[in-house]
Amino acid sequence: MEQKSSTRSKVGVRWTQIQVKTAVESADAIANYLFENEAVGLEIQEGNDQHTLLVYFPQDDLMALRLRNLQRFISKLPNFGLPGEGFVTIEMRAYDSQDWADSWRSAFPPQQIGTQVIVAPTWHHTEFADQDEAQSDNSKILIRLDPGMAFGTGHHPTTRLSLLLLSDLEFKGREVVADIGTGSGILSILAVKMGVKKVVAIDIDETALNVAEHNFVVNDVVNKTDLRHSHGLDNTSEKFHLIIANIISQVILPMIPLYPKYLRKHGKLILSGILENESQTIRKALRDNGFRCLKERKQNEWIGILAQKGS
Amino acid sequence: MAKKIAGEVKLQLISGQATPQPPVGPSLAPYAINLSEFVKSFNAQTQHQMGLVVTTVITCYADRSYSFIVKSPPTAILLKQAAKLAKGSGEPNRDKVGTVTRKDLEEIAKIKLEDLNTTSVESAMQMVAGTARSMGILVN
Ligand SMILES: C[S@@+](CC[C@H](N)C(=O)[O-])C[C@H]1O[C@@H](n2cnc3c(N)ncnc32)[C@H](O)[C@@H]1O
Repeated sequence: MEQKSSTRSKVGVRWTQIQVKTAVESADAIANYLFENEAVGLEIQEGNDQHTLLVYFPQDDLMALRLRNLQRFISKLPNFGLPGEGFVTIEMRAYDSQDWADSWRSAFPPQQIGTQVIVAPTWHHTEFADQDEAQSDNSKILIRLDPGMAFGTGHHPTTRLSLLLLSDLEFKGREVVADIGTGSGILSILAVKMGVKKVVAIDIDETALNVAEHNFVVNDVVNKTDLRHSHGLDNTSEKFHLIIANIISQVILPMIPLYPKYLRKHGKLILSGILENESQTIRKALRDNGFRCLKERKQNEWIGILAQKGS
Repeated sequence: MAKKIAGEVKLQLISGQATPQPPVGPSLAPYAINLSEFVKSFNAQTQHQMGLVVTTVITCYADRSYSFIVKSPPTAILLKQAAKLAKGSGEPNRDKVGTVTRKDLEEIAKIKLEDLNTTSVESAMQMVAGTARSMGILVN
C-alpha cells in the first residue's frame, strides 16, 4: 500500500492524534504496523489488560486512508491468533498545540560539516543559513533538511562521514552516482550540488523514498535524481562512477562482491555505517574484490571508507 | 531525599532520530521538561542503533528535571532481527517475507517477559508468535 507522506516536519503543521486502545496481546503487532506505516514514534500507556497507543500524523488528506488501512489491519489480527475487533478501539482527534515549536528550533540549529557543507532545517530562513548568503559564498553548499522524517539529517556520525568523504571528491559534470540506502536523500543532494550529472537514489523503505522525494523538491535537484524502490542494486543496469552506501555492515558486506560489476573503470566507492571493530572485515572484503582503500575517516566508533576499483 | 516523581512516560522512538514533534512534544508537555535537551541526549545515547525503533521510559520529576532509560527494542524489531528483515510484509496473510524458529520465539519471549503481565514463557511465546504472523513471518 503506497502512501505519499506530506511534509510533516514543518513547524506549524496541524496534527491528528490517533488513540488505539488494545488488548495487551495485540499491542506489539499494532505498534509495528504503525511504525511501518509512517509513524515516527508512539506513546504507550500501559494498563493491566489493555494498552493505549498514541500516535500522531499530520492533518492531511491521507488521514481517512490511514484510518481505513489501520482498521483493515486490526480486522485481520484474529487470523494471526491475536485479539482483533472487539478488543481494539480507535479514536481520533485534532491536536494542534504548538508548545514544542521553540524546543524544536533550539534542538536543531544549522550544522556545518567540514569546510563546505551546511545542513539547515527549512525553517531557518532569515537566519545564518540564508539560501542567498550560502549561494553567494561559492565555497559553501547548503542542504535543506528537516529532521525526524527519515535517517540522514546530518546528525549521525555515519551520515557526517559520508558527507565528508563525498565533499573531498571533485566532479566534472558527467558522473553518474548510485546512493544505496538514500534515506532522507541527503547524500544524493550533496552529490548533485557538487556537480554530478545524475544520481540514482535507492531505498527499500517506501517512507524514506517519499521523504527523499520531498527533499529533492525542496533542494531543487529533482531533474538530476532518479529514485528507485529496490534492494541494493537489484534492478539496476547502469555503470556508475561512484557508489555510496551508508548502511549497517551486515547489509554492506554481502553487497561488496557485486559492486565491481556496477562500477566503471577506476570507479569509486564510499562506504559508511561501519563500526570500528567491523572495519577489518570490510577492508578485507574490499581487497578481495579488487578495491584499493584510498581514505579512511573516523568519528566516534564509526568508520567511513573511500575505495577505488582496480589496483 | 528522593525527588518527587511527577510522572512516567513510555515512548517508542526511532533511535537517533527523535525530534520535539509528536509524540515527544505532546507526551512530555505536561511535565514541562527541557524537550530539546531530552531529544539531544536521547539521540546521542541511541545513535549507534542506526535508526532502529527503541523503547524508552522517561521519568519526569516535580522540579521539571527528568531521567530516561532505553529498554530492549520492541518485539517486532527483535523478530525482524531474527528473521534478518528490514520490514515486515504489507500483506501478512498472503506474502510471507521471512521465518523464525521456535528458539527465536523463546528468546524474544524471555526478553519481553518483564514487560508483560504474565510470568509464563509459553503464553509470552504465543504473543510473540502472533506478532510474527502479523508481519508475514512464519514460525518453524
Ligand atoms: C543509515 S541510513 C542512511 C541514510 C542516508 N544515506 C545517510 O547517509 O544519512 C540507511 C538506509 O538504507 C536503507 N536500506 C537498508 N537496507 C537496504 C538495502 N538492502 N537496499 C537499499 N536500501 C537499504 C534503509 O531503509 C535506510 O534508509
